[in-house]
Amino acid sequence: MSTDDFDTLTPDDDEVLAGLHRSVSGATMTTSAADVVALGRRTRNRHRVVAAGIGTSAAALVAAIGMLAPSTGSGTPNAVAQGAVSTVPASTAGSSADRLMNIQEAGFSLVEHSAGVFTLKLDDVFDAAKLRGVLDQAGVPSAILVTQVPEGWDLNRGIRCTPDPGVRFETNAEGVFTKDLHAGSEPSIEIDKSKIPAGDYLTLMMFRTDSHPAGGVFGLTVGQQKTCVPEYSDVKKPQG
Amino acid sequence: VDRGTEDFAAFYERHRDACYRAVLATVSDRHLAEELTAEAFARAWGHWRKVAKHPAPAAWVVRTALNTHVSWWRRRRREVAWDATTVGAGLGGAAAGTGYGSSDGDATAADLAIRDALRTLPARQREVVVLRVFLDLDTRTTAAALGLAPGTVQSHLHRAMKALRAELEEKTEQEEITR
Repeated sequence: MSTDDFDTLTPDDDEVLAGLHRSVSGATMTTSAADVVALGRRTRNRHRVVAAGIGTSAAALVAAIGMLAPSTGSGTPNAVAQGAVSTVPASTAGSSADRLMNIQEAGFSLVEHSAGVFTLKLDDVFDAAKLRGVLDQAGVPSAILVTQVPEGWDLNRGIRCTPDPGVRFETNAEGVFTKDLHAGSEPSIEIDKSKIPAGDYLTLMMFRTDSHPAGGVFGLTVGQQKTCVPEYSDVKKPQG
Repeated sequence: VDRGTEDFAAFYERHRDACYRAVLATVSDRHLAEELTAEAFARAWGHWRKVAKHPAPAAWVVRTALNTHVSWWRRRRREVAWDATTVGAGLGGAAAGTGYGSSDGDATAADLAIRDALRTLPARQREVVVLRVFLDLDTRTTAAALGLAPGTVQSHLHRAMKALRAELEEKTEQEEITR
């Protein structure tokens, strides 16, 4: 870097500057210019669609609130949004021959692609108790924990729930989660329930800041996690 | 391909790696840095007529990427498996156990330490360091890009260097104690 106009530059500064350069040297972008332009086009088109839809969606929203208001529930301590409701009733879809689950709820969906293999998608707002019920119905033992990130915590570091006594992180969940989370635009988890060892639970630890979702971790735990006391996950490594 | 897109493509090829490194040094996660940088460049393409006239278009991209980083958590959750190897290579091995923290298998402990130190700086100091070090901007251009007086940039840089040195010295001392 140009240091000509540095007022004071000590040898230690030189070392720090060199260290900063070195810390990312060799790192290169793999995204092509064409992909970036395509991303820009998609974003621009999406904004245009949203702008065009605002007028009509506002009216639809009023109608939807009117229809859904009577059924809003009390929620649970774990519910992300108190009173989250289904826009499409939980149901099983498909022919009687396959009987694959296809649950579409207001805040999440659980779709069974083949026997025992599910894709779970979570929206920003979902009812944790309802999700757990649906996973029970699917035969997937689970723990769904939604917690506020303590004020001032650094989201760049991993956050998770401190394991309850007797609960530990399962670090060998081979074959259970079969899809790269970031392969699509919507984060989703693909689960093969036949690979979940007996006594293990699918555990989702979701965190929020203020009223916004902040991220989360998921995996298997040996034993069912019931509480969530946040901790940085880079302080203590998962138990093996 | 229109002229604007051609100009943008040339700009992208010239600056993408420097912008990416600036963002990577700050967020310390290759996947996230790539995503944020690509998104910032995509926004630059969308506003290219305006961005092209910016005193330092690459600085615009980096600042947009870093601001996106802040709002990213609000707008889009990110879930990470604590046993990432079961999910696939896309998450990278370093994501396992670190939740959504540093995910850069190629980085050494020293690299991560200096990036950690960079993240402890106040936002403005960090921006000044990133623009000066990784985009190689001089004081005047950095000041124009950030809307600050040149003297303020120098002051931020001076404080940032002092803070980085102190942070790294403290880390070294702690390591020596634990040995």
